[in-house]
Amino acid sequence: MSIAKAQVLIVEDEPEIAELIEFHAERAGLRARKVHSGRIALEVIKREKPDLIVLDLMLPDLDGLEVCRRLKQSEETRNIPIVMVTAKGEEADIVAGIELGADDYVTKPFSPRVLMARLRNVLRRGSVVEEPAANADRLVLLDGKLIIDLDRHEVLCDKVKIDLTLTEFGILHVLAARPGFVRTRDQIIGSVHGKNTVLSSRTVDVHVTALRRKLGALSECVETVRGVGYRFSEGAIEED
Amino acid sequence: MTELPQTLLESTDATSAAGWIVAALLAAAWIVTAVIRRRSRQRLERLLSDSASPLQDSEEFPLLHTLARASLTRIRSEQQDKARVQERLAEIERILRATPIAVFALDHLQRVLTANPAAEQLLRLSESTSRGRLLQELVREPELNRAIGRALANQGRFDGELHLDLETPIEVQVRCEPLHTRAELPGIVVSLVDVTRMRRLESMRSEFAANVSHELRTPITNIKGYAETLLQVGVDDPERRRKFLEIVHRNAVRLSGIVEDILTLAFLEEPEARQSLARSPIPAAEIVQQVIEDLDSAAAAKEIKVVRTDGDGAIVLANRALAEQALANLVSNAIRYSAEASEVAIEIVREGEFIRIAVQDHGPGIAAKHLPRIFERFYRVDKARARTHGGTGLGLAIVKHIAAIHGGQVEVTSQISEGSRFSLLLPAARAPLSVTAGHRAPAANERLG
Repeated sequence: MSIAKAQVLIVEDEPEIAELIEFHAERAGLRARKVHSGRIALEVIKREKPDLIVLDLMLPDLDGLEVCRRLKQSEETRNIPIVMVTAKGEEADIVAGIELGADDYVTKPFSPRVLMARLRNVLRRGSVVEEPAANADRLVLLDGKLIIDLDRHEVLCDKVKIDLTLTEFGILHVLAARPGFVRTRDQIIGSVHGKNTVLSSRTVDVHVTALRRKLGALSECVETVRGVGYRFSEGAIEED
Repeated sequence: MTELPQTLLESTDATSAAGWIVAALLAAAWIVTAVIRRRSRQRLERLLSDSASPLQDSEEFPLLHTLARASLTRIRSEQQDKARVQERLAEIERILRATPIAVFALDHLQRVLTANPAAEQLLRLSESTSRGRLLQELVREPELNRAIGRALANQGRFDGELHLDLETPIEVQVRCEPLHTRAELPGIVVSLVDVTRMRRLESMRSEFAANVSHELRTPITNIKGYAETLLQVGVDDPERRRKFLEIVHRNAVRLSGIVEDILTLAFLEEPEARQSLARSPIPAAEIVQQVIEDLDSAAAAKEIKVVRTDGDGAIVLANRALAEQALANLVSNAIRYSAEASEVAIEIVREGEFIRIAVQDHGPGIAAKHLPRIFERFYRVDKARARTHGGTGLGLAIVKHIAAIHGGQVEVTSQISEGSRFSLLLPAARAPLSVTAGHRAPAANERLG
C-alpha cells in the first residue's frame, strides 16, 4: 500500500491529540478522519474500511483493546493494520494488544515524528495477519549484511555462515520476517513451538542472548523492548 | 480342663490331641497373665500413691522399688501422651473454628469429611447433613468442582484463584493439599480465602493510577506534540500557528492547575494542617459573597445567574481561605455543568451545630451509582463531558478534605436531568459575632427540635 492517499482512521477521545495526529497524517499525504469513541470507530471501520487505524486504548465507552479484539475477529476488518496509542507503564496492555493482532504502538507522550514513522512502516508492510515474507526462500536484511536462507536453514552474517540452533534460527526468523515490529515472548514461543522446540518465557531470553552473541557485530538488530518483547531493528526508529 | 470331649479323642489321633491341649494351655496362660498385668498395674498405682507402701522404701526393697518406678513412669507417660494428643486435637479444632479461612476435607470420592464453620458459612453447608455427602451435590460451583477434580488427579494439589457465583459473587484463592503423605490419596484438604475485597482495592488502585496517568499525560502529550510540531516541522499558516500555541498554553494552564490541586491535597492531608489551621467566626454570607464575586466572569460567560439567600446571620467557625476555596470548587462545578442562561442557587441553612451552604445547579445530574465515588481523586462520571468542561478532577476531593479538616461534611443529592445539590457543612460558631451578626445569636441547636 502506498502511503499517499491511504486513509487513516484516528480513534482518540482527546480532541487536541486527535487533531495533532490528523495534522501530521495529512502533512504526510494521508487522508485522515477522526472519531472519539470506540463504538463509532467500529461502525465507521465497517463502513469505510480504512487502510490504517490509530487506536487510543483509553476510550470512554468501549475499551481500545476490545475494539482491537473485535476488528481482528472479523474477517472483513482483520487485515487492517492497527497502531495503538497507549500510556507508558501500561506494558500489559501493549502486550495484550499485540497478541490480539495490533501491529505496533506508541506511548503517550509520543513524538509526532515517531508516530508517523510507525504509521509509514505499517503501511509499507501491511498487517501482521497477512504474514508477509512467510513464503520467501530467503530474507535479505541490513543492506545485505544479514541473509537468512530459509530453504537451507542457514544464516550468513557479513557473508560468513554462522551456526545457530534450531530455536535460535526460529527466533531470528520470526523477528526478521517483520522488521521494526515488536513480537511478544508468547508470540515468539507460538511460532517457534511448531518446529519441535519447547520454549518458555524465560528461556526465550536465554536463546536471544545466545543468538546475539553469535550475531556478533550485528547483534544490535535484535532489540529488547522492555516489558513487551523483542523486535528486529533495521537502524532504530528514533524514540525519545 | 483335663477331660476333653470323648468325640474329639476318638476322632483324632494323639498328635492332634496334644496340639489342642498345648493351645488351650497357652490361651489360659495368656488370659491369666493379662488379668495379672491389669491388676498389678492398678495395684501398683495404688501402692505408689500410698506413702505407707513398702514400695516407697527403696532401701528395703531396692529391686522392687526400681521396677515399680519404671512401670509407673511408663504408665504416666502413656497417660500424658494421650492427654497431649487430645489437647493438641482440641487446639487444632479451635484454630480451625477461629480462622476466617474456609477449610474442608474431602475423601478421594469427593465426599465431605469435615468442614470448619467458615467453610460451612461460605458454601452454605450444614454441619449435620453435609458429612459423608458428595461435594458436587452440596455445592454447585462448576469452577470449584473442576479445581477439586484437577487436584485429585494431581496428587491432591491445586493452587489458583476462582470466581464463585454465590449469592454475592466472590473471588477466592483456592489451595488443595493431600490429606496424608501416604502413597495412595485418601483425600484432600481444601482451603478457600476470600480475596474479593483485596481484588477490588487493587482494581481501584490501578484505576486510580490509570486516571492520574491519563490526567497528567494528556496535557503533557499536547504540549510536547504541538511544541515539537512548531519547532521542528514548522507551520506556515499564521492562524494555525497561533491556534497551536494556544493549545500549548491551554494545556500548560491545565497541567499547572492539576499540580496546584495535588499540592493543596498534599497540604490538607498533613496532620499538622489540621492543628495549625487558623479558624475564626465568619458570617457564611461573606464567604458566599466572596465566591460569587470571584466567579462572576465565569458565570457571566455562560449567562448564568447566581442567586443566594442572605444567610440569616449564620456564622461558621472556619479558615476563611479554605472555606472559600471549598465553596468556590462547588460553585464553579455548578457553573461548569449548568446549561447556559440557567440559574445556580446558593442557600445558607442552620442545622444544629452546623451551617449548611448548599449549591443547587440545573445541570445534567449525576447517576446514583456514581454518587458514592465522585469525591475520589480523578474519578470521572463522564470522561467526555469532563474534558469539554475542564476541571482537574481533584476539586471535589479537595472540598471533602476541607470539610473534614473543619469537622464538617460534604453532601450531595442529584436528579438526572434536573440537577445536583452539593452541600458544604461547616461548624457553627458558638459565640455570636458582636459586630457583624450580633443582633441575633441562635442557640447552637435551635433548629434541631
